[in-house]
Amino acid sequence: MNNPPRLIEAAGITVELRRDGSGPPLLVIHGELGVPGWLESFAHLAERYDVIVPSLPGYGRSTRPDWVMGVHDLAAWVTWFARDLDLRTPVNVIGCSLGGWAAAEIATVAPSFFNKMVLVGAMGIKPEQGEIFDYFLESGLTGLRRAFHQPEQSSEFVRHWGNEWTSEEADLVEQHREMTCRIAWKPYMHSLTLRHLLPGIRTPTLLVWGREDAITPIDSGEIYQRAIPRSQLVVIENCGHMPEMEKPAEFARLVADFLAG
Amino acid sequence: MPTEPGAVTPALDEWLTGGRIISGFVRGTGIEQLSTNANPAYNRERFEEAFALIKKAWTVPGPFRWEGKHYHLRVVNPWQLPLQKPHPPIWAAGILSPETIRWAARQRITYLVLGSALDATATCRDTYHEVAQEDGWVPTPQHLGYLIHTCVMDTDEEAYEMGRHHYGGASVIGRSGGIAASALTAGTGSAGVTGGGPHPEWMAPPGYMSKQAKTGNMARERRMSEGSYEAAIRAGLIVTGGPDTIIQKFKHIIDRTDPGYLTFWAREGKKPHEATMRGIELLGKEVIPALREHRSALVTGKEVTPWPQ
Repeated sequence: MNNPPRLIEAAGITVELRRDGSGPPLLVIHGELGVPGWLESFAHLAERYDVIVPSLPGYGRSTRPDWVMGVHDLAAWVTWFARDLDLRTPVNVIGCSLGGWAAAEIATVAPSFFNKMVLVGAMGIKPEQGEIFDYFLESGLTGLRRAFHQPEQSSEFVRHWGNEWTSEEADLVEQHREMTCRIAWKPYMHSLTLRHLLPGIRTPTLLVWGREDAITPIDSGEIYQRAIPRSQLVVIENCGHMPEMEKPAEFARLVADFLAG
Repeated sequence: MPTEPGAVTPALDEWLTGGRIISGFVRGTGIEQLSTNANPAYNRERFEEAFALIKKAWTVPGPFRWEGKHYHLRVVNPWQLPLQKPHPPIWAAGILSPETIRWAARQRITYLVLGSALDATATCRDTYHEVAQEDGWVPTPQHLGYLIHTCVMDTDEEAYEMGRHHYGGASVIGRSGGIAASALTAGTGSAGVTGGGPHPEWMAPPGYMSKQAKTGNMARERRMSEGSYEAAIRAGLIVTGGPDTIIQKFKHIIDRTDPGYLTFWAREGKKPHEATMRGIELLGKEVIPALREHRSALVTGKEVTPWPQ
């Protein structure tokens, strides 16, 4: 699975971009842990879609503009990026965790931007039961491991984070933590307004959660589901916070069926 | 940071003391970012902006408006201004962040080294002087302060044993709960909890320390001196001795770093009250008078006083 990223100039910054496949565009907005490579799930989806995975500002090798200080900034940046790439809208989107929150924010203000939306273990909503795991009180490795139900059983975890890290890899994890901190420190990983705006969303929405998500409680997913009209929540068994990495084939199948339906 | 405590309180204190206050600016430790829920990734930006705002509030007649990145104040108009003009002396205190040292040099304010190893402090002084040289000015000794764990007793042996209280206490040395040790340990990815201190990640939350501060030369020098009481003694993190020995040690320290302000951290941990009082007495009667006579080799060009064997 080797699809090396390239650097392009877009939306005011240098963007690390991974892109492959053919078909309608499918934009992926990654989460707070960054995107470590061309994932198996992307490869599956690239059989039917033009899968577009930018590293968000401050993640990977994408440069960090000082003005990105919150999720609204991130969301605005994503729409600018899509315009700079001449993506035909409405576009299909997968938003993972923090990226899911950004996607939901976009859907609340720009109903014609997305065709269909997949939110995966999305941040943005404070659960009524449980709490969103606080990455900043633990080490980078602890947070990554916790994002998987069974990290050692996940080929993606083992491939990207399972060996002893080089100093460059450790730096990248820390860089992502810092960028997430800049965006979502307070209120931590949630919005006080989003929940009230979700009923206004008109985008067909699939919510995907891992049953054993130890980062974003499944209760957040249920709140999303109740609030977004005609949305559906699918829970994947034996799976943690990152179904796109821990259950790549199942995840890709779910997404493909939803987008085709 | 409202201007009330930021600018007015030091000014009020200054009035109460008849204009004798030295103001000090610190970033706050990593763990304080958690206890105050202040975003650590913006700590330095906020610190520098707050400093500029307070300095302006002290020196520019109000009312004025402040629309910064982190602070937004419609009307800045302190009702209490400092007696000292243009403003009280300003110090910044730090452990070893090279960014803070360079920033202090650019602001031409005193940098107080908080209990760092001798080699690291000498490097810090060099960095400060390099930045000053780039900016076209020459610092005086009064631009450097040095706070050192100090244990003086009547004999070398007694001081060495009593000095153990300075290691692994509430302070910065040898304990993961300490300020510098933990921040550095966290920065290296080591679990590093050796004592009852807080989680190492809490001392260096994301973005609080730069990569250079975690892994640079001064950080390395600091780490080398951690690990044991003996290592801390060797590195000059803790200075012990009877009066004659400790005077010679401090002459060596002055010769190498030329601090305008030498501050003794003379009590720590469970050091008994009587020993503490005796140490302070010896400092006042014997050590300080002897050191007052001594001029730095960096200034006089004389040889550096050897470290006593």
